[in-house]
Amino acid sequence: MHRRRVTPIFLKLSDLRKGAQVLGFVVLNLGFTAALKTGIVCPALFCYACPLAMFACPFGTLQHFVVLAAVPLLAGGTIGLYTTLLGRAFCGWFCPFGTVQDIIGKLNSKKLRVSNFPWMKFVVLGAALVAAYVTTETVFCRFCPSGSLFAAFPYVFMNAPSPIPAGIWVHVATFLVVVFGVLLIERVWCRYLCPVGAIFGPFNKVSFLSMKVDLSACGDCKQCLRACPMGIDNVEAIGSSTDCTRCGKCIEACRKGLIRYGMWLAKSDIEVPKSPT
Amino acid sequence: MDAVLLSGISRLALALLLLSIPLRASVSILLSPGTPAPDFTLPDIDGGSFTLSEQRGTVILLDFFFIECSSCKVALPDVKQLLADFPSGFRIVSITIEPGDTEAKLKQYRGQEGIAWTILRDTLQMYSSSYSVSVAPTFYVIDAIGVVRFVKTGGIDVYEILRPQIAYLIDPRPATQLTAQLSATTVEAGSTVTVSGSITPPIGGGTVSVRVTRPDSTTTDLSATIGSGGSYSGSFLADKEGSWKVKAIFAGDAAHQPSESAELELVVKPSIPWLLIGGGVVVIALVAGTVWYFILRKPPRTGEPPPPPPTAMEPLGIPPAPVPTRSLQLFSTAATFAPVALLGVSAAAIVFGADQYAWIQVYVRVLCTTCIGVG
Repeated sequence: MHRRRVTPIFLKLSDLRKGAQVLGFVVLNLGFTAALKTGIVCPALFCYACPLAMFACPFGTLQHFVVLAAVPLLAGGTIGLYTTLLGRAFCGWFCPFGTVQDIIGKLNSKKLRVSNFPWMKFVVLGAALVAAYVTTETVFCRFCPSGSLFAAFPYVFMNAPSPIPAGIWVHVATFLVVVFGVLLIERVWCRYLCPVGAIFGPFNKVSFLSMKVDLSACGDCKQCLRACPMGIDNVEAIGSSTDCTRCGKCIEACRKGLIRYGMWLAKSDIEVPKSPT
Repeated sequence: MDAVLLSGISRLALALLLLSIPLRASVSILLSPGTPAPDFTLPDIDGGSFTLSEQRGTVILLDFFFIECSSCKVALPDVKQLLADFPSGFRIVSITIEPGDTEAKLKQYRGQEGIAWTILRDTLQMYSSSYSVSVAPTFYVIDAIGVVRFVKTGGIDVYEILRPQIAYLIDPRPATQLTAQLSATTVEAGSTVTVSGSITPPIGGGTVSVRVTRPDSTTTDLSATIGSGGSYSGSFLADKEGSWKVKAIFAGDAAHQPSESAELELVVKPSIPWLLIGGGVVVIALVAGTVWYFILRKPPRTGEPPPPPPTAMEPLGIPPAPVPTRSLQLFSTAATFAPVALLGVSAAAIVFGADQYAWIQVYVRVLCTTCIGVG
């Protein structure tokens, strides 16, 4: 049961993805005047302390509501809306910090293939929320490398504080750690540490957008797994794993065109061969 | 005999005279209300002079004090408040009764205590001669035609006691009290807000002006007619987000003094851009649908033979898939519709949490010093 290799009509999938990533970078940075600074939560790890931020960071907002001991109805509903529609696709197609990791990662073509620890990002998520509740401040933001890049560094350039506060050096350190990590392991932040990915990830199993894998004709060449920037090591987990960012690199890598995007009500046709008993 | 008598009489007279000095001091009688205030001209500490009779048309508060008088210092805040309450038609004149209070000392005292009114030196000693002052401080309230209207001694309750006296002299009309309240203290931009309140005594048919100060400091005055019971109300459109100030003002009439209500604050939150959000969702849906249909959709098979049936593997010993039970079918159906349920829950959360939009907007607008590590 061979399927047509999925290739877009006008552009390759990778070109579409890069275009979407550029669009995400631009859209999130449109808040250069107060009138454009909205109260909408964005589907990406992007610091709302950024001078150009147009939207609110989902995890920063959640921390604020934890500190206030209030139910984040609007933020939760918005995140639910995003993820029910597209799952964790925003990480692969929209998040500016993911884009930055992709760019930095290109500096080293020989990266390590290491195991995934899907639970690790959930530990980070839980610890950050507990820390926010206990300390009544957004503790995670003090270490967030996205905040380093998009808010702390611009703040230093715009205000030239002297001496530079210790908190800024913490941001420098965490950002350098992530840069070093990304040079060794692709999308290291998204894989192991991103709390937004931890929130979005479980929705991969129930979102309208899905990934369909035709395993009946799979030759087990593992080209799709080798192409996966998130280090998924099981073909059956493509699309449904909490690590999958639905970037589509596996679709491009599959020579037989067995992987494709799917939509709701058609997702049950993910074909899994029945093994002999 | 005569000499002895004369000597006795003269001694008695001397004794009576000596006794009369403290007696006179202890029973010195202050000027009574209704008495014309004795005129005087005294030098002020800046080289000028002050003549009481030249102040006709102005209510004068004469304050007899001296620098080292602790009660006088106690009274100073009250005196300052009186000046603040009556910026026109009223003047305070402090007169030091201590000759040792030199110009230099008085200037230093004025600077230390922040005194913003005239200070005179009583070079004529008139405090004891014409004004019979024996206590410091002593306050004489003199009306606009130069008649003593009220006298108070001591530094306690100066403001509470003197204010109504001065207010009456400046404006003898009955005082009014105006209250105001808002229909809501926090509204969304585009909402109509009602200001209501009452005036005491009720002045039916009068007009209250409601001054609305917008976040950009522009003001608008609304006119509201006072009903027979003294109540009034007026409405305005809160069309701009930010902090608004609202105050009701009664300008007064021939029989009543003007009054103002307390300043009320109205917080106007940004309106939720439902149109923008709805339009965005529609556009995203259209784009997503177009991309899916033209780029990602599996094209219909044309002329291709149907794939071989999976039963071809049965001879290898693979059993057919078990028939799902009814409960499993129900669970599968429920799971299939999970995205719809989640979408509904998310939409409900957004609707019920819509008032949190302004909270989150603050996070985007205000620099989070904690987030960037400088706070």
